[in-house]
Amino acid sequence: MESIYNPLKLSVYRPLFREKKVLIIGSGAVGSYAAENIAKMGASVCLVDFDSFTLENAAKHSGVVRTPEDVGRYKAICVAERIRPLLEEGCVSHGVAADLCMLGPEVIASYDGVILCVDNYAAKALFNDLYMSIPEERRPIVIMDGTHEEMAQSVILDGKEFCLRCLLDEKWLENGAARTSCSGAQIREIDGVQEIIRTSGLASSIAANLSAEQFRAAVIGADQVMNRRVTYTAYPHFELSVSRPMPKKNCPGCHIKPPKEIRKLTGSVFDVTLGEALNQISESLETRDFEIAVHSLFYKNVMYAGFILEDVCHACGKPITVMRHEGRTFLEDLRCEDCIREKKHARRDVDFPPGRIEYALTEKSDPRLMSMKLFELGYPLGAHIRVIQRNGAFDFLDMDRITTTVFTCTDDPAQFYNVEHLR
Amino acid sequence: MSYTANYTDEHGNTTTVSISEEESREALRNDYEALIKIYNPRYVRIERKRAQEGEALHLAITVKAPSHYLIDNNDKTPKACQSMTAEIIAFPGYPLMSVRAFYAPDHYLASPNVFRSGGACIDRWVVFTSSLLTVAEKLIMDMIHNPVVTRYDSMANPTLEEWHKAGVARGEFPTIRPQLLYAPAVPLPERRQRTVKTPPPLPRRRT
Ligand SMILES: [Zn+2]
Ligand SMILES: [Zn+2]
Repeated sequence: MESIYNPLKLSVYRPLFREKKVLIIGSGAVGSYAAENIAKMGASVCLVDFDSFTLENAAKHSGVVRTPEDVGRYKAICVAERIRPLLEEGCVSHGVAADLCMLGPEVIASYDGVILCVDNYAAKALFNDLYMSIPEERRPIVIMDGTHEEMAQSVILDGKEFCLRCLLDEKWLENGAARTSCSGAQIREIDGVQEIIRTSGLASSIAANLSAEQFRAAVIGADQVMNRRVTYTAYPHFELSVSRPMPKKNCPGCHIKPPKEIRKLTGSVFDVTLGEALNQISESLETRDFEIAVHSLFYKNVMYAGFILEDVCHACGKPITVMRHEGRTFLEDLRCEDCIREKKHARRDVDFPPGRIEYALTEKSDPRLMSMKLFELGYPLGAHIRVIQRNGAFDFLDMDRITTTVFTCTDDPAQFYNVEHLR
Repeated sequence: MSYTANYTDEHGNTTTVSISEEESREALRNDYEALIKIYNPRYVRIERKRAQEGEALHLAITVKAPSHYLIDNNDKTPKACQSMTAEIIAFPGYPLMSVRAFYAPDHYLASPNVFRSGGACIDRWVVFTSSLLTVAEKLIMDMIHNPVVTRYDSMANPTLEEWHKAGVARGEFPTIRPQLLYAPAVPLPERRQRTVKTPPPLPRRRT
């Protein structure tokens, strides 16, 4: 294949990267540099970030991001576009403006490597839940980096010795709070102010370089690369060190077990309707006696596992049709059209009566749900969809009768390349 | 699928626990078994109802003691009755996922903490602090109008605030000595505290 570059001036290992696909989560200070590095290495790059560029962070981004033209653009989409001219022939770059909550384990599993460049602990913990849900033999290499003051760090793991949670200090994972004091829907809080991590732009680019070098060494097959942490310190001691992190005793992340079997649904969450999913599952299980659990998102210690059909306007109290998953519903989403038009805010100080929420989807579910796509019903792209069979159990105290089968949509990983926004 | 959650104990120490689907069911069974031992069956009947789709456990809790009810959305006049029933539903994600509680819409508890739709206002669900037991306790005490559990700051039916406070002032509420509702052998729970400590580190299977 033709290359835009002169191969004689590049690493002899470069051809090893042409088939590699790297997912970069977070496209800011570290992620933009990581994307630039991976693209120049000769691999394909996908990026995810829900945020957009601001001028105040311009001193930290890679030079591929243009200032001030790119201010206000979605980081992931913008970086993917800016690195495109640098790509090796045959490689692709793609950016999706999305929250990590919109992705499921199977999208992550479709990459050779994932570089986690996010600065908030809740996202790292959520990523670990998704990652550890992937059967061990299909887990990609994960590289997590971070910067702090004058230090840059990067850890590479294969998910066999320890997990990301082994590396996180649990006290950082502060509890999230559900908004309601009553038993209504669990409404997502807009993520608050991010932890401000004061650090130099150089530390960000070095963290990204360390991550890229770890990925490169892993692909080349260098010795003693996997499951190592590389730390660079600028001050007070200038040094670069390598250590081998230990698995944490009784680590809850390591305790997560992937499903023993994952069955396939033809199509993707974007095009399979609930009605079609019920038919496909029923063929696979050879019964119609089952229910599909509504997707459960566990984020910041709050479980979002309901699909809200109806509720009341949280500004004026009038009944409204919602048709959204709890985990994708924010307080301001619960307003009637009149209140949205009149810019009335949803009230936090009032307890509204619980709305109509479904926790499982079956043939008997509300007919409006049948023609909705699985994504619209709250399943992320690449989700593990849990199907519960009660086999005559009176309730869950009758535990031995209940079985769970996990399904996933086969086209989900490919569909990731066809979207720019996941909302 | 498993979920990882933080648990902060009463000393403020945070530990993290991961719960698999099986452990979630074990936690539900443990809490149910603890629940049915707490109350005196003469006054409190706890009945399992068939769980519907999406439900893991569906309980009806009847308190056989004087109470007051309302019959529809517009009803503002509490009527006396000799027993009251609330229902609790726990979901497959228990104990990470909150339970829901409600009364029959045509015979619901007259209380500032019950919506006119019959939905019960339970306290905020705090993972590993809230449980089937804390919710049942709140409902049972609410059914005898025990002001100790009434939240006047979080009101589902504010029109009943004065009525409730007047009942308390007259010494009519609670309608029965709360101690009578507990099974004799069980030591009395401390008021305003959670009644039974849910085991945060769930029985972890050694494999
Ligand atoms: Zn771990
Ligand atoms: Zn309104």
